[in-house]
Amino acid sequence: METLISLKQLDPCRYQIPASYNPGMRVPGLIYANEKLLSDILNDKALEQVVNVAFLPGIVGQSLAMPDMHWGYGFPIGGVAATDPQKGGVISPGGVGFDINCGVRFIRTNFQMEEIQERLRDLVAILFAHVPSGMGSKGGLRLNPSEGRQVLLKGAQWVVEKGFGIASDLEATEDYGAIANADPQAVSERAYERGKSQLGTLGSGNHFLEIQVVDQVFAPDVAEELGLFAGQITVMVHCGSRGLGYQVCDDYCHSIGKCLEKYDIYVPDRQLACAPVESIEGQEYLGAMRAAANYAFANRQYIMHQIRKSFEKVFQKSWQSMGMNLIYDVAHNIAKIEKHKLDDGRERRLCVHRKGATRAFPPGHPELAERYRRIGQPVIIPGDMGRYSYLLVGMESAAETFYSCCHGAGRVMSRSKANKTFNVKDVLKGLEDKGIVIQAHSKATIIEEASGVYKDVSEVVDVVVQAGLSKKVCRMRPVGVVKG
Amino acid sequence: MTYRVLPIYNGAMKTHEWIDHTSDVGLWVYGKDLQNLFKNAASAMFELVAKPLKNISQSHSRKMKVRLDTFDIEELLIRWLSELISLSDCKRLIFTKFEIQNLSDRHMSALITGQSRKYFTIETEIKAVTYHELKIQKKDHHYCAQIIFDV
Repeated sequence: METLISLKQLDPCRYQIPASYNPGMRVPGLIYANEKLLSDILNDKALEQVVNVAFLPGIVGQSLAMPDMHWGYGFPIGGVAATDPQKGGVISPGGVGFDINCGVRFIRTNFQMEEIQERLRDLVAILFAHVPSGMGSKGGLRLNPSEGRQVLLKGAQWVVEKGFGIASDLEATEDYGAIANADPQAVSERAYERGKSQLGTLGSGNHFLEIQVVDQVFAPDVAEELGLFAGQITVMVHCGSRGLGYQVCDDYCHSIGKCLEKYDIYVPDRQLACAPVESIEGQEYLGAMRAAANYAFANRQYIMHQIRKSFEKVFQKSWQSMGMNLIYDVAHNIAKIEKHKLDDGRERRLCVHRKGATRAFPPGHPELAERYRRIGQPVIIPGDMGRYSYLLVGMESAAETFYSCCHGAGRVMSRSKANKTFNVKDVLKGLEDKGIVIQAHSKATIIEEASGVYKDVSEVVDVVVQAGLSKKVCRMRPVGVVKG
Repeated sequence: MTYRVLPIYNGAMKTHEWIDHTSDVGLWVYGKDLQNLFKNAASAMFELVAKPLKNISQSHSRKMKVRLDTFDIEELLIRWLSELISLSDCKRLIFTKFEIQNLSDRHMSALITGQSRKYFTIETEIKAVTYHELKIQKKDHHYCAQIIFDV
């Protein structure tokens, strides 16, 4: 399955696919990688997908791919594409993905590692019991139809209003935890049905909850401003909009599929079906997608409440006294209407798709809450369960990616290959040797999420730092893991 | 898009094969006719989702009717599998029997049978059925389709 696309190396971490490679490409492709990561990228069909995305009507700049990129469906995972709605630019549900607003939440504590070491197993067990996980997990908050609509409109704000959090949690959430102009009416009954009992649940697969320890600080001034320090215990959560989001994407992949003929659009992959942003269909999808994104913000907010309660139960202290404040919450599967300057220096309203990519606004960006204006937006990069995760901040030099950065380590091995390569005992032994406590619903997940199935997140982060897309703040290593 | 050489249908060929995909799961499914293809695709999909813990009594089964209308046969295959995943999530059932009653290029109806998830070990959560690299091919006396699942 090797790709035969020829790449032009622009500098040590940028590779271009010239627009002349395929007459259907409206813009070039640009891949951020070093030589080592590139060899993984060439092993699957991800580059072909970068080419396909360059076909989208109204695409501006370049069809971008982050160093954690790999073969997805429609867009590559790690793909970023901005379209100009004023020039017929489109929105594609496949450019957001089924898990709308899959994202990451990062929480600090006042604890040092030695203060929790003895209670680590209890803590993981209680988190596993309090935060429902696994396929189709339900529990958490059960929503009646009216509450369901409120969640889709107000996102994490609704959860905070119910008493499961505080106002400053919202300042630490992308879009303050609620994207404006969400349209609950555009969400199907089936999607409501799937979402009503899944708020506050983790799900399965690569979704996780981790207790981590800060093991390296790269930017002490930024870390200090965020309340982070070496040896500190932190908590990271990775999950999204659950069945509600999957259903919204599913419903609109179907309806927007019909738009290709209606608006005379050609895309090389049916999963890239799209509609002009300004069309009725485009606006309807945007409204539904925002509603699902708000559900995901609410989901992670309620999960954080359960995490705080779990710590309170184990340590018999209030979460406030344990300093369990939210550092930040990012979305990494989303499309946003944002203002960006193009090469001609003029500011335009663009539709930025981030499919496995993280928004990384620079210092001073007007959409950031006051407390992040000096340091830039925190960018949370989860790695795998046996190695590291990173916290970065956005930089002005990321303008060429519409202020976007990578979203994780990126898979390098298929699930079937993982099952042939690893066994549960060895994976668990490897984690135990590193002092990592794990609880998971399924053995399959443990194997399929083994460290070796992912790229080394440190390599990925080094590329985005070298390319000027973000700046390193600190590195965390996992000590407790909850998996679905 | 790469096509594979299809095995000649002899009545005993395998119903499906799993294929490698970096982040998701791919399936090649075969059928002697379209009805058989749709049935085999559904069976293979739930084989990925769950394994039965033991023989389940038919008295614990729940039957449901599925009717779908769409604009072409490939869309219909994706709608069929998506509907099953969606119903499985809503009703907390694992479907094990698929009786395709009517099938044309744009319409289908089927009677499906499912059992509570408590009778199964859950293996994989399928988030959705994608259109990526989707193609239904007819070769000699049988049909074949490639489907990528988002897991």
